[in-house]
Amino acid sequence: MAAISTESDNQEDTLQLLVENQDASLEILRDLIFGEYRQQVARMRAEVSELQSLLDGLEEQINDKQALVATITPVIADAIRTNIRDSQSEMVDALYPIMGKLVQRSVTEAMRDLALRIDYQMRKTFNFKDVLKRMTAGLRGVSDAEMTLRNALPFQVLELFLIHRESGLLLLHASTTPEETADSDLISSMLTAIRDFTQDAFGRSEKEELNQIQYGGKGILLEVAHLVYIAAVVDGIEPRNFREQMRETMITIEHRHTDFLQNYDGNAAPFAAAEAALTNLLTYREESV
Amino acid sequence: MEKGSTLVTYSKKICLLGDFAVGKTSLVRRFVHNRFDDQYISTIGVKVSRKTVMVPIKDEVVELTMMLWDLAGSQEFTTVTASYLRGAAGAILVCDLTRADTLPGLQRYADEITKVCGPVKLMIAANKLDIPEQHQISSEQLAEIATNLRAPHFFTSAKVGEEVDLLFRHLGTLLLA
Repeated sequence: MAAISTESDNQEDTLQLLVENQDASLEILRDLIFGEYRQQVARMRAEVSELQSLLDGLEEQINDKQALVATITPVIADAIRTNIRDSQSEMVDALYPIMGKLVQRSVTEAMRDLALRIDYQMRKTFNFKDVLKRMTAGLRGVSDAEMTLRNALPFQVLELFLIHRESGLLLLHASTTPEETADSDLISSMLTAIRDFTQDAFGRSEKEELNQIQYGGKGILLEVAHLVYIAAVVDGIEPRNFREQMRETMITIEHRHTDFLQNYDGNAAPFAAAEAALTNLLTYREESV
Repeated sequence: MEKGSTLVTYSKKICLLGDFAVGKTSLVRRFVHNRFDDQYISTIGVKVSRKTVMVPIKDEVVELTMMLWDLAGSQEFTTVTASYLRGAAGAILVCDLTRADTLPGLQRYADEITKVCGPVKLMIAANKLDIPEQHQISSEQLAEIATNLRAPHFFTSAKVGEEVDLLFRHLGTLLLA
């Protein structure tokens, strides 16, 4: 009985072995037939996964506006630069309608402003000083219209610096935007350095002074006295009497503080009293003269 | 300009003088308020920076703003440089401890500023203390020239900041004494 059982077990084992061998053979056969496809599928899955992560990254960049701007700005800027360089005529044709409108609008605004100023000048009440001015101008060949136009040109004083001439130290400062002028003392010193440099480099004579620095529509007007000088940052073309007014203000302050300025110790407190005079200059308008 | 009832403020012009590459600009750059680019030094020969210190004088504290004129270092004084000295209340004379040839210049710079401004407060900054293995100037040599110029001297390192703040504060005290 035991012998029969053992024989039966052996048969089962053999059968099992045969089945396993058959599975292995089938697997080999599958590998032979589908192996290449399987590898391709694996590669494709890897590629899809890679593409997915790229897409995620791109989505993240698109959602993050700052990152998107940082990524595309150099490309766009380069493209525009290249396009402008290579096809200037086409660019001009394309931009002309837009630029034309912008320029037109800007000029219209400026002309409207000018017209308002001229209207104001014309409506001003009769003034003997004005008549005298017009007569003098007429004698010099300047028409009424030209004079009115000149008087109507916009002008604004933005900042004023009263500076110790020798040391470049700031004595007094007035500005239309006081909150933006924290470094006025540094500006005074650098302005003095530029004046010194210009005088040493180009004007050996005591009488020759740097009297204006122009940058775009703005300028720095300089009026120099013996111990102090005034620098006025202005927008537009200064009216005829403005420099005279600057000089008068400066000379008045200098005369009032001559002794103090000759041996200036760096304490600018006494000049606080002159603030009103400087502020008057800041709000200068020709009609106020 | 007075701020409030107790705080008195003063401003003084200070010049930094010394041969080329002794570290004047580095001394300034580390401890002051800069607004302008260092390129000004090579273009117009000067750059101005600001350092504000609080100086105790007797029983009150005074706010002193030092306008520091960092002048381009050169072997010869030109008329341009001389005009930048006008109106200075003091000067920091800078030499490089690793270059013995920068020491004699101190006397020359002191003479020049005295000629233009009269007697002013002088300080000596012996810079590059942080590389002792390359030092070519001894403490004795420096002490001798400091005695001749009647100027306090400090061993500084613009690189690590050693004694630089102290230098400016001491100058502040001298200027208001």
